[in-house]
Amino acid sequence: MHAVILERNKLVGRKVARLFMSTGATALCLEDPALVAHSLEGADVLLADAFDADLVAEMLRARPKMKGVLWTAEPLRRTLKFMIEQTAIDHVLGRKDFESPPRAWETVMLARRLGGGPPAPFSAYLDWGHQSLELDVRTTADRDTAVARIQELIGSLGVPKRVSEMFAELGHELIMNAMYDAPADANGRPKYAADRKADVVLEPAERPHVRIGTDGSRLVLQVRDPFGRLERKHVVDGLARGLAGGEMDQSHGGAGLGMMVCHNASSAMVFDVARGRHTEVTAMFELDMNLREFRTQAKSLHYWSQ
Amino acid sequence: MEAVPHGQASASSPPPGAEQKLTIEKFADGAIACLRFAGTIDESFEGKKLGGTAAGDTLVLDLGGVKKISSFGIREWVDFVTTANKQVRSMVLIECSPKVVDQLNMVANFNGGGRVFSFYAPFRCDYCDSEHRVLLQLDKDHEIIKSMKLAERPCPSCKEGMYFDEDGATFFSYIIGQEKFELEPEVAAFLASKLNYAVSDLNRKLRIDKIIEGRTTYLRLAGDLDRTFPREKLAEGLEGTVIIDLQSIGRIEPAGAAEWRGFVKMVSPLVDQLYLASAPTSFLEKLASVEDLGTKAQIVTLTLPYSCGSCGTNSGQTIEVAQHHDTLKFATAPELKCPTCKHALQCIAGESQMTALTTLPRSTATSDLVKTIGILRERALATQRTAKPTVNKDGSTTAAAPPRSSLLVPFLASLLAVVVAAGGYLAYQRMNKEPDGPKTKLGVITSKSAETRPAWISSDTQGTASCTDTKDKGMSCVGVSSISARQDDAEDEAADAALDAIANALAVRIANPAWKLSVIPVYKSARDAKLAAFDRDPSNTSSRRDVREARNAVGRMLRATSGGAVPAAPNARYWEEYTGSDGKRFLAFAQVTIGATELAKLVEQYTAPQTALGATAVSMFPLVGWRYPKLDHGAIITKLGTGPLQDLGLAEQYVVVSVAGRDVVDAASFAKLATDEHTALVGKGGTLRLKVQAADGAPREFATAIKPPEVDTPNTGRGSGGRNTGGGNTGGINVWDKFGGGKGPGRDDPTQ
Repeated sequence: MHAVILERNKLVGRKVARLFMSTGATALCLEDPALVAHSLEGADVLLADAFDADLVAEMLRARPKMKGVLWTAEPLRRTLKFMIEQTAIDHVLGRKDFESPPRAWETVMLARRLGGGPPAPFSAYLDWGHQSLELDVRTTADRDTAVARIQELIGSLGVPKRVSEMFAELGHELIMNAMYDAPADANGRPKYAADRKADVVLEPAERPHVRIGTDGSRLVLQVRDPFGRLERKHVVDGLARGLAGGEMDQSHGGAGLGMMVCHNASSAMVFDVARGRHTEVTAMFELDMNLREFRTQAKSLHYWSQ
Repeated sequence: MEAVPHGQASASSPPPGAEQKLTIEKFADGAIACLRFAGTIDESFEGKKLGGTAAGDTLVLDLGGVKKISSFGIREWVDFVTTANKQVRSMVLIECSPKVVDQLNMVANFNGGGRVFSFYAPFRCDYCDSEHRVLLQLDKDHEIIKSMKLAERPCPSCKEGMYFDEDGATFFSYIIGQEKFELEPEVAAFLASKLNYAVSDLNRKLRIDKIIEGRTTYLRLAGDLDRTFPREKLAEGLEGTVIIDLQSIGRIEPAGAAEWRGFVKMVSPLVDQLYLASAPTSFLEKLASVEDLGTKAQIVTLTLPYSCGSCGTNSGQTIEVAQHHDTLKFATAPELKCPTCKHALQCIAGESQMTALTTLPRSTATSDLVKTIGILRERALATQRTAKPTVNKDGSTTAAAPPRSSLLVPFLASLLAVVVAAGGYLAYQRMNKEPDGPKTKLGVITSKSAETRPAWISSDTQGTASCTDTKDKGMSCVGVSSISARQDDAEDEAADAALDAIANALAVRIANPAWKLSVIPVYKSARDAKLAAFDRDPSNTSSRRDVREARNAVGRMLRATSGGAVPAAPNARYWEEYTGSDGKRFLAFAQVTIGATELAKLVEQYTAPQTALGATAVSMFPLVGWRYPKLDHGAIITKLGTGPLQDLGLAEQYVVVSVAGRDVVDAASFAKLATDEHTALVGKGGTLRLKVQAADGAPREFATAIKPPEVDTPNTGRGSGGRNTGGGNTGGINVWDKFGGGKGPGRDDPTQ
């Protein structure tokens, strides 16, 4: 895989290039946008700050096979419009400020997978030695138990109660999606989405897989359903609508604000969809910052589809 | 889909409906209603249905207890507020939790057209790792809100600086767009007087509306009855039939009561009849004796507090004295139906309030007069609304046109109201010299329960308690109230503080290391944090309420579990009345003494361990009330070894509240109930159910199926192995890392 990196801060550019090259990719670092068009020969991916997103979008339009990756130190809302316009941009890397590169582990994970590697396992999001829980969700009552267990686990870390409540809220949201929105019958018709108030008992083949883990620095929550029905537009449009002013979309039974709830409770969201096989949503929260810092933190978003 | 396998309950899974995610308390008083929300708003919240039941003039939504809101909960919520707002004239959101503020910032129409009056800003202290909330009000904190910055302030727990734990630009983004406004006096009086909310003192000042119709004068009083009551001004020119509507009277201070008595005496020779309408229980207790009413005054209607066991609404119901006198004179409340759900209401008035009913003279007022009072009240309220700009549903303000009288009889709708109240207040202040008495920082002492302060009082620091050893090696604890508007309130608070000190002194005397290790952590941080918050600002409603609630719980629990070792009432009491710029206020003291024998008995009683099913437990200790104020019985797990209770998911410091639906009153009953139930289930099979207080929130049920011995039990779990023994299972929950279980499929081994 060959990556072309446009970054005005050469230290940041070099770091990103190094991270890409560590996965076996080749990388070219550019500081001048004018040089980009002439440097894309053989490039598989073009990476840049969201400041240069217009240029990235333009380059991608001319090269349909190339992928785009943006990084940003600003709210995700500003970058989402490029994801809506240009479907070849599936990844936004949040970074602390304009002087900082995106998170190293996240960049490496991205580079590895863009280069054809497998999806990262759950443990890749956490340091070795972490603890995790797997929660079996079969019924509506199990959902509530799972949410309580998530909150309990986070509470046991001694973090602010608001954090444990926020992540429990996120867990509820993701499990609700996996239990009520994801299951479909043989004809692809949603089975339980029409009535979210109803108690359901899922068949073994319908049950979502819920994992919560922490290494003390990060919290990771992963919910995987065996249907793979989540589409890119659900993610991107849902986020765009929610972050633009919270207008509800009630056309699918919910409020259409679930994506916004997820965004507001996490530092990074990874959506991994294998059409008809699974949808896996992984949310990550960094525990080393207070909520004030968290609110202003640039968030990451990844959408993978197979 | 499949059927749920019988008896395969997940560990720690709450049974359906056992744990209420959202509680909604309803309070109603005439045209004002308040709904207090606490917990999680999710898909189970029936927004539209609840919104449809909203009625009246003003709906107040107290959102201070809302902790989580799911996306579908948002939808239900918006349905609720939108529906409710259509049914009431105005809707006000108060004490919004940070979670609610988040939603207001993000979701269009989350307020449903209502206005936010107050909200909590989250603060965090990194020094002591604690979280706090600071209440901000749109009327008095508008400038601070506009700045979008909240300065650091001392942490209530450790006094170091705590900081505003949000991004100001984000957190205030919705609130900043809202105009500054003040609560309507009616609403403020309702919240302050009836529900003890913190609202501006200005809003509690007495407001008087007057309507004259022929020889009938209708006066409507709203606010606190204190020494500022303008009796001369109000009595001026009264004649004929006078109706005084007391529906919105708030607190009645002793000086206010004296002024009222003077007023009644003054007008009695001038008027034909003085009818008192909608007298609240506080008025009945203090101002409804035969002497107080004199020859001309009579109570036409009174308001008694009722609660509906079906829909949960607490409301004041108007009772016609003439119609129900035969019932009332036996201190019995009339049987009424809930106006909302039509179920039977339960009167919740206190014993002293009911006793006041027995001396009420029979009213001569007719039902027509009662109806007339209702009409006049409506007119007074309508006039009041036209006197100030109204905020429309869209948030704009317009001055409403005065309503046209539907009757031909001319009436004067005098806006004596604020003008008279304020004028009267000023005149009263000028005419009356300062009361005599020693001046203190709380004001001048104008009355006290004894000539001199008793020797057993060594400190008058508000909200504190101290203990000393007695000569017979017993203990004497003295509690001091915070400054309070009511004498009885202050006395109760002092007694609770003394009992809390007794319990704390007991904890200090307990030397058992296992007890200390397991029981003290259950309540210590909650107690420390609440006391520190109160210490920092004793006038703060929220912190005072927390401490009062906790101390009351401790006192209740101590009395209930001490087996008579603790006296039912304090051994000695004393109070002082202070008069200052805020009117009359009270400081009370209470002394509770227990002997050496009782002390030893209590120490033994609270520390004696009992063992069952691998768990060791001690009896519930009263100080646990600081953390779980709603608990009043149970057994605290102090040690947990291998056994069914460990398999069930119990942990040390959990409080077992019941076994198989039977209350655990102490450690011994825990041991007996648990052993008996388990033995029975092993023989016949079934589900072992324990209700346990495991963490903050409501107690939840821990349950596991126990198969009968003759049945072959295949392992239906996911093979997590290790810990699962017997019939217990973890419901497929892999707890390998947290609890040290063995490896199993699905383990996410980082070395792979």
